[in-house]
Order: sequence, then structure tokens, then C-alpha cells
Amino acid sequence: MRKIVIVSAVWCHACLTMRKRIKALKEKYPEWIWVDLDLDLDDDVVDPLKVGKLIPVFIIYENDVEVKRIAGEMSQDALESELNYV
Amino acid sequence: MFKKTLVVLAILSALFSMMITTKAYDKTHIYYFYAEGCITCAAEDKYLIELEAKDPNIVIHKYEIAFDKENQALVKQLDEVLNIKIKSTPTLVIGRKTIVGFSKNSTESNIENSIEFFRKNNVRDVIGELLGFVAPGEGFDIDPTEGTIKLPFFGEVNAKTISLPLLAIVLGTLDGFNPCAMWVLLLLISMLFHLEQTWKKWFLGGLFLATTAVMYFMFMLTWLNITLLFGTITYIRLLIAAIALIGGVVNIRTYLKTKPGCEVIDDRKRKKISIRIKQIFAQPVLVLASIGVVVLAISVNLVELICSAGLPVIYTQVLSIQNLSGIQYILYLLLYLLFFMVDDIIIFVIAMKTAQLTGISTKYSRNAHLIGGILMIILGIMMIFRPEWLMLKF
Repeated sequence: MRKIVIVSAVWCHACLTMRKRIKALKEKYPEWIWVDLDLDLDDDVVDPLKVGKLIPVFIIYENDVEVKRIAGEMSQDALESELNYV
Repeated sequence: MFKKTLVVLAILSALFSMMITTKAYDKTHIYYFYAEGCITCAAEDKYLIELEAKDPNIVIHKYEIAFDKENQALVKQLDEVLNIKIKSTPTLVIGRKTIVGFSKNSTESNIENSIEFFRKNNVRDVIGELLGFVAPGEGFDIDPTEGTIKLPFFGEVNAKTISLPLLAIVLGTLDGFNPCAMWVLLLLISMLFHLEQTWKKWFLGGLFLATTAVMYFMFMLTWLNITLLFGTITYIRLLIAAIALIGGVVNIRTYLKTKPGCEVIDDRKRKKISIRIKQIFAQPVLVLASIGVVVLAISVNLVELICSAGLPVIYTQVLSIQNLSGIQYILYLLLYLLFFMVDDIIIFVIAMKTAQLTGISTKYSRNAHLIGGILMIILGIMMIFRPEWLMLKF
């Protein structure tokens, strides 16, 4: 089972730009579990993830094991291929 | 065809003007305004001595305006009576034509061409009339600011009025895309959503933007006044050129090093500002909430000023050498400011109308860094080697 954890923030313009692209991918891949986390509001969950200095961050889990982590703003196509290429 | 017609008209008008000319001046009076201790003035001084020696029909009248009260009064009189504005040193006036700043070769040829034009077109010596050096009523009162200095209908002023607004728009927009304080605006808007009254959301958000605009305007106005006073002093010009070059390099470096996305702002700083906004919005007394927003905007934008890496400083330097009127200076500052604020205003209005936050893609801010960086380096080089090109008269 694939799970995508997305860490973003309300003050991050790049995260806001990515919203539509993420929404489109959520609709395309409903079989995946999508988890949206806010850097500030969900800090108790986000802090242990150590997301680093660049957001948004996408953490990909395969059967609850982290397999890949990508960060930053990218096009919908680039994000899709990153999420698929595990 | 149109151009040819204009040239014919120009020649005809020149011929016509020659026909009705009563008498040409025997001497060409030039009015030179300088400041003690100004290095550029010293260079121009040297050139003017040579010029006067070379051409016995030239008379140069020198006025020290940094310390001499009488000459300062004359400057005021020239502005009030003749609308000739002396705003910085060195400034040379031939007829109504003012030549600000001095650079070997280019300013020299500008001065010589202006003298030639003055003589050929029998331009009226308005200052000479006022000061009693020439008889009144001779020559033609040609105002170069009306675009008639070289040929009728083909004024230098056209290039100036097109390029200066363009520069204001380009630099203002590039500066505006700098996302340094953008995160605070987004955080503030996201918290505005929790307020119940719509008018309060518009008011407090608008107040934040208005304070940002006023603060930036005041900063630019102050800097413009500094450059108007000292901008022609070589060291100051070189200092601003150095800011431009360093700022340019910083911007290009930012473009190359920054990955698309948002840099995570320091945890403590983020939480501190977040708590501050929450406290402001929880404040039941509107006046106190408003004061909180104003103070927040000021403190956040102080950081923005450093973050802008000198773009407003460079813009005001370019503006200061244009010899504009007070209102024109303010309008050009406001034009820059409008384009500086436009992305913030768009984000705020969309958020208020749709109750959703919109972001600006990092690619725009990255490109703004690249273009801004290149422009700053070009402007910096021009400030050092060809400051007269920045008068936007080419």
C-alpha cells in the first residue's frame, strides 16, 4: 500500500501553487493514501519527520516503510513521475 | 513619409524662426552650478576653463550652491521665475537646457552640441535676461523639456518619458516578486479568515498592505533626497554602483542556488510572528488591533528592505539625475511602488473574494532574481563608467 505524506505550510507560496497539481494527482490515484500535514499546525507529527529546509515535502511510504522523499515546487508531470518512480 | 514631412516642417520652422530673428547674441552665457568638495564638479571646472580659453565668445558664470546663501536664493528664483530646476551639482544651464553631472567625453560633447544648438537656433538666454547679462526679448525661448532641443517634434524628452516609466515598472515588478516578506502576508491572510466580520478582514489586511506601501515609499523618498543632495559626488555614486554590483551578484547567486520551493523560516521566528498575529486579531479594541498590524508591517518590512538587495536604492539613484520636478519624482516613486505592491494586492484581493489563498510560483521569483541581478549589474557598470547614459536620453 502506497502512502504519500505531504508537508506544507499556509505561508508557503510554492505550497499554495502546488495545491491544484496535488489535487489532480489525488483524483488520478485514489488508491493511494494521501496525508496532508501542516508544518505549524501538525508540528507534533511533522517534527519527528525532520523535513529539512525546503517545502513542500513529499514522503513516499510503501507498506509503512519510507522509500523516497522529494522536496520543492515542481510541475504536475514531474511530481507524478517522481511519485511513481520508487 | 511621416518622418520626412516632420523633417521638412522642422527645417521650415527653423528657417522661419531665423527669418523673424531680430538679433543674435554676441556672447554665449553659460551658467554653472557647483558645490565645494564635489569631485565631479572639479572635473567639470577644469573642462570649463579649457572651453572658455578655447572659445572667446563663451562666458561662464559660476555659482557655488552648497554653502553660498545668495546663490541658493538664485537657484530658488530660477525655479520660481523661470521654472529651471537646479537639483544637484554639477549642473550647467545653456538657455533652458540643463546638463546634470559630468563625465569626460560624453558630457563634454553634450555641452558643445548644446552650445552649437543655442547659437544656431538663437535660443533665448532667459537667465541672462533675469540677471542683466543680455538685453531682454532676444532669441527664442526653447524649452528642452518640451522635446524641442534637437529638432522640433523629435525631442529627447520622448525617449526619457518612455524609458523612465518602463524602468519604474520593470524594477518595481522585479522587486515585488522578491518573496522575503510574502510569507508574513500569507500567514496574516490565513488568520484573517478566522475573523467574523468581512469589513474587518478587508480593513486589517488592507492596513497591513497600506503600511507596507507607506513605509517603502518613505524609505525611497528619503533615499531619493539623499541622492539628490549627494548623488553627483563621485564617491556616493560609486558606493551606489557597488551596491548595484553586489546586489546583482547576490541576486544571480540566489537564482543559481535556490531550489524551487519555500525555504523553511526559522522555527522560533515563525512561531513568534504567528503568536503576534493571533494576539492582534484576538484584540477586541479595533484601534489596538490596527496599531498591532501597523507595527507588525513595519518590523517585517524592515527585513524586506535588506532583502530587496538594493533595487530601490538603484532606482532612486537613476531618478535623482533626471532633473524632474518634485511632483514628477513622487509620481515616479508611486509608479515603482504600485508595481512593487501589485502581487501582494492581487493575492490579498483574491483571498478576500474567494476565501482561498493563492500562491505565486517560485519560478517567477527565481526569474525575477535572475533578471533583476543582470539589470543591477548593467546599471552598476553604467553608474561607474557612463553615468550620463542613465539620464535616459539616448
